[in-house]
Amino acid sequence: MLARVIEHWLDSASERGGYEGPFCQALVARRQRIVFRSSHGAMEQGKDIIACDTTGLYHAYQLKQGHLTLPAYREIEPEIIELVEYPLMHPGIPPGAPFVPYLVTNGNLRDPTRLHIIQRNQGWAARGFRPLTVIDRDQLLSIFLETQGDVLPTTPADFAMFFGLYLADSTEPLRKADLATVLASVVAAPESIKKAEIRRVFAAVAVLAGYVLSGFQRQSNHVAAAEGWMLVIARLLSLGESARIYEPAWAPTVQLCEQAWATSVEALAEEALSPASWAARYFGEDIIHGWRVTVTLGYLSALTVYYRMIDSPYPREGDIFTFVTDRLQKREVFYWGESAAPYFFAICQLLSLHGATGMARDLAVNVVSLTARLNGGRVGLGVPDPYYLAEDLLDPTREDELFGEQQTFRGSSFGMRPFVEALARNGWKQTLRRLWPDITRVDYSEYAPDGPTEFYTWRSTKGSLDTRCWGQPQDWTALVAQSNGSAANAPGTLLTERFPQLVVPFFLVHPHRFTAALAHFVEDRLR
Amino acid sequence: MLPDLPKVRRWAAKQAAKTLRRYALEHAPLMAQIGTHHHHEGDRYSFQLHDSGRIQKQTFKTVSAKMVLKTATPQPARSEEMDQQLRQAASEIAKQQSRMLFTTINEAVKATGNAIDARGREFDVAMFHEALRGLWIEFDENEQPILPTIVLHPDTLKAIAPRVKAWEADPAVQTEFAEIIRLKRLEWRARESNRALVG
Repeated sequence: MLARVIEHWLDSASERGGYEGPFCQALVARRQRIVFRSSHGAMEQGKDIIACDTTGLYHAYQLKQGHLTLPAYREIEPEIIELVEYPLMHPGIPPGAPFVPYLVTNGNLRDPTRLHIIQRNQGWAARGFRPLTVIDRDQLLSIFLETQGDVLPTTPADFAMFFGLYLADSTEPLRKADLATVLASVVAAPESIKKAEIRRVFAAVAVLAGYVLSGFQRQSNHVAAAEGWMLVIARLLSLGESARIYEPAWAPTVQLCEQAWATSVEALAEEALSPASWAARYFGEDIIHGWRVTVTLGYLSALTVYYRMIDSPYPREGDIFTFVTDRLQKREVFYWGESAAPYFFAICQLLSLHGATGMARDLAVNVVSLTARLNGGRVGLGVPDPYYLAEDLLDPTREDELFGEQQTFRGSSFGMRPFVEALARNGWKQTLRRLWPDITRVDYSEYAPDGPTEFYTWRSTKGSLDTRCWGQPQDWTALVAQSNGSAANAPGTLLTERFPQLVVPFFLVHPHRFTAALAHFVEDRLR
Repeated sequence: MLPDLPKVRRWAAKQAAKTLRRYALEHAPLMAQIGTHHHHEGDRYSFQLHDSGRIQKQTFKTVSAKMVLKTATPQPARSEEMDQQLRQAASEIAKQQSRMLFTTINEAVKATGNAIDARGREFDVAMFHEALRGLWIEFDENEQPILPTIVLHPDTLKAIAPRVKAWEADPAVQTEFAEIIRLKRLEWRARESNRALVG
């Protein structure tokens, strides 16, 4: 059944954002190390992907879409000549290193083209070049099926969920809980993975997700794609926790997913920075606009933070900062519930990085005072906790079913503490002094999962929801000390230890994991 | 299989669950005054008491009730049977919830030393005042007291109802009550003053 899905997916995939990512994962599963992936610029020299196998031999791949008729081949022939004849030019590759050139297509190779390539290969061989190898649709299908192996959804219900995601309207937000469930089901017992299989199993998880996410990528639903890749990374890291010593085997798969996340968010940035993208539409704009702005600003800020953490600032960081401050000044952001808190936190980080500390403070104060007012009052629902996502809260058709009759969020908050402690850490004493009476009316809650594996799960079953109250009175020095000690409580996970640049992207998708400890951890890394 | 509409059935089951909850609240009016916080993850929770700062750790407890529906019962008797079963189940659930609530309250009262031993005496105004003195009373923005809910056995309520009217008319009782409230207001102001960032 999955073979039919892969066939359908292959037939509808474009080379970029279509099958390139899963193809890289399949190469990793075949023990090849990805050395280079082209951004399809002038420097590409016919090579979209360069990989190195375990013997040290390089492989250069040119990826194309559709059937290769002779006229179609002739159109791309200059690139193929570059692929075969131009040497590998990469700082990590020794000059003159031998390599095998491949032409890969998700279509079929027509006979006249095959004959033409055979003739060409004879000529190349005579001139000392390695012959061109063609990987067509059927071979690609075999590669993907072999990679997938038995890494499949476990139960019929999980399969149904997988198909539901594959066929979902890709203009809608990603059904994150469903994808997390499917990803959890494909490797039910991580401890049973054999050492020799680790590389392939990790790649297979990512490839399976790739089938689902390609629809969102094709539709340029960048946020859904980014969220999906982050969920895949979370699942892989969860599996990685029980296979820490084999990190060299599974880390390349995580890195490819990380690249896919960055590619999606960069595409979002490009679109968001173009004024034409923001033209208002007639229906629902009043409901959607604030959410859309907040999510976009949050993701653009997260992209900036991500690149800063890997010491390679994003080239358009300045444009993003201008764009974000402009939208903030126009008061276009919207705090729909505590699942918005990580977006606001990411924006605060961007502002602080650019010295707009007053603006960052004001944003944090707005979150704190709004939460204190609504959750500290005696009436009303309060601010919905981070388990309620915007797509549910803003859906008018779900208004009646979302909350129980006596349900309330008053009295406590998940999202307030990270901002209160950030204000304390940054010395905003008078600001906090003014807010303190209201802050003390709202206790702070945090969920502490039992161990790293529980940390990554969409809904953890083992752990404690801990609620504490603020000091009354609260000593400033003690508060600052508590704020400065928070990072020490950050969970000891692969995410924080090996992939700290993904902490902000992680809690944008998992707002219920946004804690004071992780917030402090991010701040620490950025300063 | 006979033709079926599972979506409609799921909707009906949800409605039944809602009705069950509503009936349960009718049987436990005190519970109806308490807001609920939903837990989405985990197998336990902890919270800090505002007065002592003590941390209490808890696990989740189950409340359940059995419903027996005869598939052979024809309509409209089936709807009536369903309603009756829901009411019975709700009553059982309400009992369990209330028991749980009072157990928790009793434990808390014992722990804080606020328990009053009536030593077999009937409930009287002195006892009420004594209870109030031991309580932490909140005040609204107009400094009006938010008085606690008093839970009494129906027989006790019947017995003291005429006396409550007399207490309300008794100036001495009212003076003492006003004095207690004055002191409680001062305590509350002190607590409110403590909501400060110092140092």
